[in-house]
Amino acid sequence: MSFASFVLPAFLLLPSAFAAAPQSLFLTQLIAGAEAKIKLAPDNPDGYSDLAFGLARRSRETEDPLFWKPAEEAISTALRLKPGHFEARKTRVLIRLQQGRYADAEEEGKALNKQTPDDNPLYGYLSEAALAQGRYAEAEALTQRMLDLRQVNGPGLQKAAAVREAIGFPDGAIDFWNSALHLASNSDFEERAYILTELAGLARRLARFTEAERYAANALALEADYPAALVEQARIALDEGKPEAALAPLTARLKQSDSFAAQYFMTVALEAAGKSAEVEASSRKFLQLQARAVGLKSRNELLARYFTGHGQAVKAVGLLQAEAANGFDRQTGDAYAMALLESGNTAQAAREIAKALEPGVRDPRLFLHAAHIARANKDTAQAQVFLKKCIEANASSSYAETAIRELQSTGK
Amino acid sequence: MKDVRAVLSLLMATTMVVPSGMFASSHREAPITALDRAADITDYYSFVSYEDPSKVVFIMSVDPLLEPSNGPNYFPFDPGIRYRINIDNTFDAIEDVSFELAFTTTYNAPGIFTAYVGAGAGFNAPANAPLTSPGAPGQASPTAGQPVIPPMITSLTGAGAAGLNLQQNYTVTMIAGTGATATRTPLTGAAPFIAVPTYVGSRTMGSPAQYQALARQGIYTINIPGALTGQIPQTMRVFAGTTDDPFYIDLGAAFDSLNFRPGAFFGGGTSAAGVPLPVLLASQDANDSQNFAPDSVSGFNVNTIVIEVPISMVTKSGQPVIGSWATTSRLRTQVRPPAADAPAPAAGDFAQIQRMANPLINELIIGTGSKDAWSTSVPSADIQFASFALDPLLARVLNTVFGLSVPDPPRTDLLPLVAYGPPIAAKGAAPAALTPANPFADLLRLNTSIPATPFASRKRLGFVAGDFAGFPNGRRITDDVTDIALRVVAGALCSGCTSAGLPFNAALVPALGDGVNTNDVVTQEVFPYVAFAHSGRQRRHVDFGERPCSSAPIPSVGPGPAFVSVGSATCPE
Repeated sequence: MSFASFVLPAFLLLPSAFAAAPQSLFLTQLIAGAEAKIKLAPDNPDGYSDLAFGLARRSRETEDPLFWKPAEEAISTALRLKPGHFEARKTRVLIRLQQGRYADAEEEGKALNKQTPDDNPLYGYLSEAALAQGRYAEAEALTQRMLDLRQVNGPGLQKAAAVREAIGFPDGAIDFWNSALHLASNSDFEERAYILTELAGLARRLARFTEAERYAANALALEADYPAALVEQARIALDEGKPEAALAPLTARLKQSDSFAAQYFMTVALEAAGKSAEVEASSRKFLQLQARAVGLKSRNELLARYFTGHGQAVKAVGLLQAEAANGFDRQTGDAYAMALLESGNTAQAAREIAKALEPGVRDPRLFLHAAHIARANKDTAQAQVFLKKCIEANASSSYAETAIRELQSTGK
Repeated sequence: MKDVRAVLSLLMATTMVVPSGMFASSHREAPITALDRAADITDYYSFVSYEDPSKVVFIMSVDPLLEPSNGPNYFPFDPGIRYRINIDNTFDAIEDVSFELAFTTTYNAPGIFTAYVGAGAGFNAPANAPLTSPGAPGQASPTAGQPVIPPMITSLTGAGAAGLNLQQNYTVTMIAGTGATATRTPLTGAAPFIAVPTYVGSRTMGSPAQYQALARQGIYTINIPGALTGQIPQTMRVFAGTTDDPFYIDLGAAFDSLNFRPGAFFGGGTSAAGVPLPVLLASQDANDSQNFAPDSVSGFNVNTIVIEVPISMVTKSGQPVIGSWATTSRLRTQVRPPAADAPAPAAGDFAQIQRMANPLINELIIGTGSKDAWSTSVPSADIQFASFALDPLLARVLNTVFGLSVPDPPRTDLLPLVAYGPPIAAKGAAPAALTPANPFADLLRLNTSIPATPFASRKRLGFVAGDFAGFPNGRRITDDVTDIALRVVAGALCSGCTSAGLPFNAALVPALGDGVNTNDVVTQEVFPYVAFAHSGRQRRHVDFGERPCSSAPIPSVGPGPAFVSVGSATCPE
């Protein structure tokens, strides 16, 4: 009995639908290899498992959730052929992480970890889930375990970089990302572009915009029109206060496929650039996409920021309130705090921004927000502390400029 | 004696599922050490000193299957590794005293192409030596009359050490306590301790006797102040260097799905499927100095650390039982960067690569998906692995392949070896087993009040044969842990057990064995107890029926036996 028919037709539809998106040769070969394996031995679950992994990687590459469906089908086929197939289940954990379904990812990941505690990538998946839910100490311990089991460990260094940033060591995080880049395969352009994009994002959060621009440009040099790098390029421009410069990369990105995140930043960029005629259409499109974006990692954060920025802070609070009970990453925490501030719940806003800053974050934007929340709570002394921390985090950032202005206005 | 169990039983278990090459006691048994052989602990031993009943010996071998001729770099210890022997004397499976060795490497003559060089009294460049050239990095071209080849290496320092290009010095540190509150006492002074190099060959290092003399220079005596011994000042000895691998086993047969060699030894009996049982004849079983099958580890070297310390230094007053284990650790890549003003590497900066106490636990009991987790965990947390020991796969393999009746799981009869209790600890001496005060833990337990058995009455089957100074009361280098394990797993020490629901008779467990009863070379009765390294030039991997290269075996020191072999093969000189 052949199971190939369950998977291949669905997958074969995909390339034409996303012709504009990049297709790294490495991933194409990975997927082709899996398909060949299935063709050769249709009753062997390994081919389907490999295919699912390749499709999950392609989903990361294209930022397109449509790859999840055939990936999940391939996983189902592998599991039908061999119940409990370890690698297939592991790829399902990866997809759950991509979907932002952290609790589901953890449940299956922990079961697999108990079964095979030597599997290294699983520690990374569990760390990612813990980090996304704000459990920083647990994420640190899991990542340390990953590195202890394999010292020379690219994926481990990537996870460790994310943890380092979260717990307040951004320079060390840059070191780890760079080490991970050195360990990444020279032929896996997508992986290298991904790492460079992450480096760009980190540099941006530190308001080191020149460095961030360089990383993003390098990512795009490796894989032209790499979707995440285009969005990152736009975010750098926005944070630098150059919204006009954000429009081109976002336009390129949105030509590839619909993207909830890219559409959000396009709306923000158009607003900041004063292109009011185009704002409404972009805004409408963004709100249309929210239904399709359910499950996307940063969906609620972006939606909340949008609502907060458009006089609907109470709606933003409502959106994140349920999620808050389970804990979330610092950026979503920041969005929640700002929504609370705008909706007038300044005391709760102070608690939430404190949580977001708790692990030792050195993000100047978050410090600036914390200062504004403190000021709203009439805690001038605390506000000044946060403004100073914002400047210390990166004195040349635009946030620091604001902080300096605000400090000067109070005569401090 | 019926309490011998678990760890032994652990001996062979997963032979049918473990990848080949992992059977030798602990040679490359886990993925993490298969990739990091310098950190791979091959065997660990602990016994009351043969020479001094007031002292206890700990031996840790690392870096498996070193082919003696494998120059030019041979077999240095890894300076990136902390080699450590840990001792628990309070029954909680947490170290109370540890000894840590750290190595540094120096190349004394970086222009020389090999780690060790020497011949006779040394050779100078002859009259027809080529003209001077700019020379290789680090070395000018010698001209006529200038030394080219240094004298034969006869010493670890001074003039006789001129050819000792690769020199490894090491430090020994005693650690009291554990974790952040542990105190560290350096035991080495200003004069360096030097690791003993392998035996390259007779031109470079002289005859076997001359090499032995060289190796003995690597035995260091340390004066221990009374504060550390709890008594009057005493001494301890330490040795580190390349030696013979004292472990012995028929690996090839074991990994060929327990395809032992009944043609060489066959005590009778076949399974229902007609498979001959690996049972030794009574005469063979009684012969502790001759092999009846190939010793796969013969002729291979290993890097060995031996320390001999006063028992009073590692025991609590009035409590002679200790549990010990060896570990290797490397500096870890830390997620959280250390503070800028943090002291240079602290204990927490190291990640454990491997540990070992009883032989063959990780390779034969722990599942393949958990081996790294086991290697990098601590004994006090071993309860997480208990399920592997309660239904050892080896017992099922013996049942399946040979049709032997084996005890039904759960094999609670195997538990006493992984907790303190009789017969190793006197009745009532230890807390109740499998409690936090006496947890399930893989430790090599040793009752230091049981004196060493004299050579003449020593039994390779140790405790099982009534030699109470042998495995699993500690482990001596002569103990035949493979045969012991086969028998114990088969239920030899299981009384009151059932098999397939019917009463099980331990007395009917046959004399199972691999036919390898002794090491290929004679081990020593004096410190450091292991045999010194095999010669690179004369190296042979001696099988049953063969002789080593030299017509005369490497002379033993002490009252050990002459080497026993048959046949007449010799190597060309």
